[in-house]
Amino acid sequence: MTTETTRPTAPLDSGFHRNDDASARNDVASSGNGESPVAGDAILSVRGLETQFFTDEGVVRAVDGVDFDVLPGSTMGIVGESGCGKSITAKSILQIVEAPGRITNGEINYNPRPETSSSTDLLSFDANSNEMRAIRGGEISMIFQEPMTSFSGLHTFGNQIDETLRLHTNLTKQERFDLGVDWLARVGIPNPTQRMHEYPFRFSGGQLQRAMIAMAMCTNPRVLIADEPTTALDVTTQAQILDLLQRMQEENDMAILFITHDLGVISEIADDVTVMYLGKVVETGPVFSFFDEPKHPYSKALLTSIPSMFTSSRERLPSISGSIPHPQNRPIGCAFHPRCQSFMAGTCDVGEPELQSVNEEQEVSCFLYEGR
Amino acid sequence: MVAGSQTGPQPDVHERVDPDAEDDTKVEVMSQRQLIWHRFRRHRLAMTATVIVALFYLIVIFSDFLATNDPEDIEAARQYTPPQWLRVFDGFKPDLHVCRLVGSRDEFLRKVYVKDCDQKVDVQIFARGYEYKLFGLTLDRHLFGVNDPEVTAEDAIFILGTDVQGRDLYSRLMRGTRLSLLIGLTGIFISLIVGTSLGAVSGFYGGFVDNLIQRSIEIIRSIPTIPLYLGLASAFPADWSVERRFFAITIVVSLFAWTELARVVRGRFLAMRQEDFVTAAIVAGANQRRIIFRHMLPSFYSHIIAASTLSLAFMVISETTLSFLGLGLLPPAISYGTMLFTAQNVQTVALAPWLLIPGIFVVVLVLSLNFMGDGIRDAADPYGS
Amino acid sequence: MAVETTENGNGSASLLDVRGLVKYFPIKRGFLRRTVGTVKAVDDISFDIREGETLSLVGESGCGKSTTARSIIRAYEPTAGEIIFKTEAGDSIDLAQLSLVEMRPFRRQMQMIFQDPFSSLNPRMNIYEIISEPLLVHGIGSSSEREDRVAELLRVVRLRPEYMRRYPHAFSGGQRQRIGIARALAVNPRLILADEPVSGLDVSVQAQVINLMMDLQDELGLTYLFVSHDLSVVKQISNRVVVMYVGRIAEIGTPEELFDSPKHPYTAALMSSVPKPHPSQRTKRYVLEGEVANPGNPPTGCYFHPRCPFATDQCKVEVPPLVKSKDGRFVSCHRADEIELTVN
Repeated sequence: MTTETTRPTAPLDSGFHRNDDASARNDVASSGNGESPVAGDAILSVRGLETQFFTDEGVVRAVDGVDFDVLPGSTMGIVGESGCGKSITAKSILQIVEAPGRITNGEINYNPRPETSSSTDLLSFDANSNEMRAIRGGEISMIFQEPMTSFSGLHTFGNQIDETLRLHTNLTKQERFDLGVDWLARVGIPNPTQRMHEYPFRFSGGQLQRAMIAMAMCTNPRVLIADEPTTALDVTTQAQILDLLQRMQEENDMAILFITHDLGVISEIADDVTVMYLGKVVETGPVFSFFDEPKHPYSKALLTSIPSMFTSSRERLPSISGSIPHPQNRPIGCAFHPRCQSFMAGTCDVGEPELQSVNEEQEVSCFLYEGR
Repeated sequence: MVAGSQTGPQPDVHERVDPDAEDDTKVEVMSQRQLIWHRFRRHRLAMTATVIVALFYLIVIFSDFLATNDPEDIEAARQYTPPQWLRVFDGFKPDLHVCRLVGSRDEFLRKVYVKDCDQKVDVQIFARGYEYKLFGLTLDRHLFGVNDPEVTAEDAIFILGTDVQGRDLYSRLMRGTRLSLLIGLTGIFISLIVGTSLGAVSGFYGGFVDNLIQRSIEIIRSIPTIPLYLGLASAFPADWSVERRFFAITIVVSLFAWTELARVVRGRFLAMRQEDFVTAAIVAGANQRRIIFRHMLPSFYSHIIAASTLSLAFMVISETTLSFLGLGLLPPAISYGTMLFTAQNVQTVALAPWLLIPGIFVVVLVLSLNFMGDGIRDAADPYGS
Repeated sequence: MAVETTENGNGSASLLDVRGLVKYFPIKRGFLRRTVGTVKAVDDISFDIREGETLSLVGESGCGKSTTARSIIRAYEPTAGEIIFKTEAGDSIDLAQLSLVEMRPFRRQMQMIFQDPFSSLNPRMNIYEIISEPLLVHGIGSSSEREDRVAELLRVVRLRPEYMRRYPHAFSGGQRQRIGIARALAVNPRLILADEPVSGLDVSVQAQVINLMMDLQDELGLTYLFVSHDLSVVKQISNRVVVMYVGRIAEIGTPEELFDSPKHPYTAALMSSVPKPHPSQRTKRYVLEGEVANPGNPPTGCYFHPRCPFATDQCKVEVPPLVKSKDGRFVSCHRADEIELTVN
């Protein structure tokens, strides 16, 4: 029972002009040739990112030296459980971390034209600078788990999309309105013209999520950061939204940084995976290698402990012992060692492993692979 | 029931007790009450406010001990004495004293006072003064004062000055604090009983009763207060005793304060009914009394304390307003309101600005109560950071 | 629309038999809070739970699965219907007819586990007080006996008895959920209603709790009514699954039947929406169009018809009954025997 979803393919007549066409970018994406990506290829390259929260009880190292690359036109999935710092990482990229959080170190190299390797470090801009505001919502957009957080209840949807477009384009008022209608239609909202005049609370949960995507997409961003956009949704709505995001990616040739705790969603949508645990990257690599041959004991344990449609009924799955420590009580050494099946006394509880390549495509931070 | 559960096969690793729970940090073994106190203590503004409120309550208990002169003593000869600040040092030598004030009349026959610091009036700690009753004992010792009970007007001390009748403002302020705060406390007591019971009934049973109570609250809250006070005050006969008037005023100020408490309690009850732990208690088979008193009420008593603290501030202000307008307590009763009543006249204020000092007390008290209430409310949120 | 519940294939008896259960919530508006409509949260559903099995209720938010569980345990008052419970003595009692006071002794036989491991434990009570509460209210044991029992229960759920005097905030989500399970086990119930017991937990902790629940079932012969929206978890733990859509039952079957050969178009759509566990299984997603119907104002006929690709005119007017299909499964679809459905 498969039904083809309808795809509006009409070219968008808008004020945007893209210098590079989709095929050029795909060439760049595939030129990596299976090698571990170098910063030059990536549209977004995060290096040594540290974000800390200065609370009354002390400093919480929410993001503690995170490296990963997002390739043009592809989807990087960041997966991790609560407290792993995945959402803070996303917010750090746009410099929208709430106080008492502060980015204390690292580089976020944004390179909209990978072939020219002319990247800029977003962290060299002040959070409130004009440059950063042009990038936020213009070049890099973000969608959230809770769509109401990106809308004001006091303005119609049309007003809000108009505001965004006024900030990031030179279109006239009528053009902005038409573009808003067009995007609402493209994300699959019925009666788009009428919906432009409605307030966000009139939209259902799934529709709000679609409207938020329309708002994030209307400026044709190069990178879309999706922070758990389907976590609060039912499975059938989740399928709709994942489908929509993939369609948007194909049509607009943008990169997606997809943040989730759900490995099923990762397997559905990601091209590459970065696994985080307590503020650090434990493993990164292409999605197929990750699911076929996870390297880090945490990745392995996660993959075997989660039931899937292929789990037979009444089957016991191995579980991971213990629970995630509070980021403030981070264990000494490798943060995962108290729960690790491959724990090596005297090694894992002493030093912190470094993220390093184990083969052409995968990088792992684990002492099991050190010295290879 | 499962005798073998420990010795039986443990199929996977989860028998290893969670590593993060093993270290007994202090926070982990604290009860909810200790946790609230722990969070409250870190709230510096609220802690300072609490100390100030505590000082006010010490004044309530020990007002006569703290006073230096009988607050009701009238002496025309020392009318409008300016404050004589208490001095702790004479040069570099510790010596508690005030400067003597020499009074004379100017060409308009107004009383003027000249400070003469060559003539010291010695002030003693635990000095003998007028007799008063405390905890059933008749005492005549005061925290400080002039030792001779038969002091002349020239030798008496008035550290915050005197009013038109020559009564010591400082001693009256101590007495006034007692009455004003007692009105507040009695009022809170009445509002607490009425407010929590009606709020609980409203929130727990819902339906028609809830409707009736909520609509009544809305109507009461929509009545303009000052005209209502006027009406009520005019209904009190002028020949009522100070005590009767006191209780009448208390009831008037509680009339509004209970509605706020009832709303807080109802809101908490409604929220609480949806809590899983309340459903869990129902499912466990607990009866309604246990659900209300063991599960629901303890979960928001701190909210009630916070709301009461804020209402207390409201009541102190209400009493002050009423008495200032001459609708509440009447002289000879001493309260913040009746003291400020004497400072209604612009000329009086120009001549004797120290008569506004009770106003400062009201501001400090109300601010402190508000900060303290906010602090309790923040600390009481069980899952707040 | 009674389902023949007693003649089930394996001959084991039903512990609980739900017949025609209805739960409506009034919608109130205005100054006088007049009832202006009803939300049909549960709208005439029937199913049975057999002794020793795990029966799951699945469906999307607002389908009434939680309301069904809470109505069975009388945390909500059912609007209509029968809830026939087989007691230990072998009598059949209609729980829906009992007053809340009459209900109390039966609460020993059925207990509940909640979704939110934070709100389901009273933060003002320590672990001993929480777990011993069911014992206390039923007057079981002296205080030292209760303490021994709590220690035993803590060991059963793999927690250290020394933690008994600690308060809930000292525990992680998974540990709290185990405390909730210990509380449910305290009075030796026969039926446990688990309302999304692992949805609030981190994925690495979910398996601990599911394994514990399956162990306890084997050790104690428990029967579970398991409410969840997570189809993978449901597939793992259930013997039979009831699929609900907007307050009604779409289909009942074993997990294999439902996942491999669904009979109801909604079941097929639901199963197809579940993310595939390996990227190599990515296929064209079957995307269900439209939105879940509003239970306050549902469509006519079959509630699923506005989204159903197979809907006919009959579906728009006639409510399909839950009937046994040709191969002995329960489906409520007019066209169950005509259409071929596969999950990809």
